[in-house]
Amino acid sequence: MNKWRKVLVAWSETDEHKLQVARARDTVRRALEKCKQPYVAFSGGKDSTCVLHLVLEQAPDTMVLHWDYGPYYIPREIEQEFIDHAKAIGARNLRVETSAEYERLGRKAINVLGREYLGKLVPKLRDEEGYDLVFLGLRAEESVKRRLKTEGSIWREKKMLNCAPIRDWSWRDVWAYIFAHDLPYASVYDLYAPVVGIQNLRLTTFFDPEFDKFGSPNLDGILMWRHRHLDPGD
Amino acid sequence: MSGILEEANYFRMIMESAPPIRWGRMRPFKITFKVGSPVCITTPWINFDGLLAHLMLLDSLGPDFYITPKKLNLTPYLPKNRRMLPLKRTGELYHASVSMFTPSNLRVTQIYKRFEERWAHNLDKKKIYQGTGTFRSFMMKQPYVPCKEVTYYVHGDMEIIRELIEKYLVGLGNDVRIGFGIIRDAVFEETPADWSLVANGVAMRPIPVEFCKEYEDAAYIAWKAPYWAPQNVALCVPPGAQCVLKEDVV
Repeated sequence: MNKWRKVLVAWSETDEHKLQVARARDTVRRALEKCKQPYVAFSGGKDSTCVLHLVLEQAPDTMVLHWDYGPYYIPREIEQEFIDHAKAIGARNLRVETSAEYERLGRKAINVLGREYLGKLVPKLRDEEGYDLVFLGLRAEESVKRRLKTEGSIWREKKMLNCAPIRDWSWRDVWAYIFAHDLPYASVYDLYAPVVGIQNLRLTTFFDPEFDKFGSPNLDGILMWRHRHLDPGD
Repeated sequence: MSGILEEANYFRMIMESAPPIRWGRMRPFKITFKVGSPVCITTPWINFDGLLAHLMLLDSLGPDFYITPKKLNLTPYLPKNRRMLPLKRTGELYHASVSMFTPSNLRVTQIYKRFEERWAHNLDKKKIYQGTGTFRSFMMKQPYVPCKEVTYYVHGDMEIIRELIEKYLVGLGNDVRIGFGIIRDAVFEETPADWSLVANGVAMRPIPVEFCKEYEDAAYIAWKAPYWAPQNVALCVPPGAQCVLKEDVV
């Protein structure tokens, strides 16, 4: 990543990038005005790292929610990095949630995020704990679905306000922001960047059968070979 | 369960009728494959004993090789003469290194797998769904190494191994059918030293820690064929790590 760092720090000084950052800050400010009790969904990836930093600089006590995919999908040392990074960025109110399904089903745990996080935890946060807005690291550049979903940067979904402050950022803006602010990022990016290219870097669960159709486990088998098996006979 | 046993028995009977292999002199040697196209991989290395087990099975089963069960480890059902590989063995550990790619540089490309209508007239259903199911289309990441040579260090019967390779092996790694890993030539050279397990203090293949006196690194890796079988995973010294073998293994 070091070979790109210089270029991207230079990008962070352009008017184009500064405008994107100013817009993102404004989106965060508008979103904070609209809600009483927001939280940030922090995956540990590059996009949510930027969003976390943008939100905490305006509302440092915001709750930071991190979903742990369990040891079969995210090696423990990488999971620990995510938590350390959230704290280093300034998360005072960090909450880590997971599901017992991950331990029970191992790599056969399919769509647990949908069932447990989106299906149970998010409604609980909204209905029982009073959270009314979530900051997300979604970007329009990632897919057409995300572009359409995040239109306007703030939208209502399932009785909750959603805010994607970096909706219009490119991958250059994301990395430029990380390097310019010297934010910590997951070490797996350094591992995957030379192979897939910095523009294609995406943090996903490792050896996940849900990504078989994209061939992601093919690459994980080489770069993350140490984590293919967690136990003898696994 | 009886279905699985019947299936295993079918393959055992074919293998029993295969001509026996007469082993000759075991010696250390090096195989250099000159490859004409990049080698696709899904693990950091290709194990030579796994490759040889594949060729032995192909040799014994003939065309039936292509209908072998995909999730059943046939090894325990095979007759001894066809189960044992023509390699030096310590316990269950074969003396054969993993692949060494020259130059070794990982790249990634996209593979587009689509339904091929060539044999569609044989299908009962005439409406093919390509979004889901058996005939679904894929756009997959495919890692590859654009190397010129792949080297193995082996201790075994060079003649049998040479024959198997020359007869059956057209390519190395994944997706040989679409042109990856094509072998242009294979060079066999005897070596004065045996580098099949450890070379200059460095592990040349996954070695279970029980075989080592000292080691600098360990991980759970498959260490014998078939490498996809979970029961063959154990705590091993990975290739490339420093280690010292126990006296009875050397």
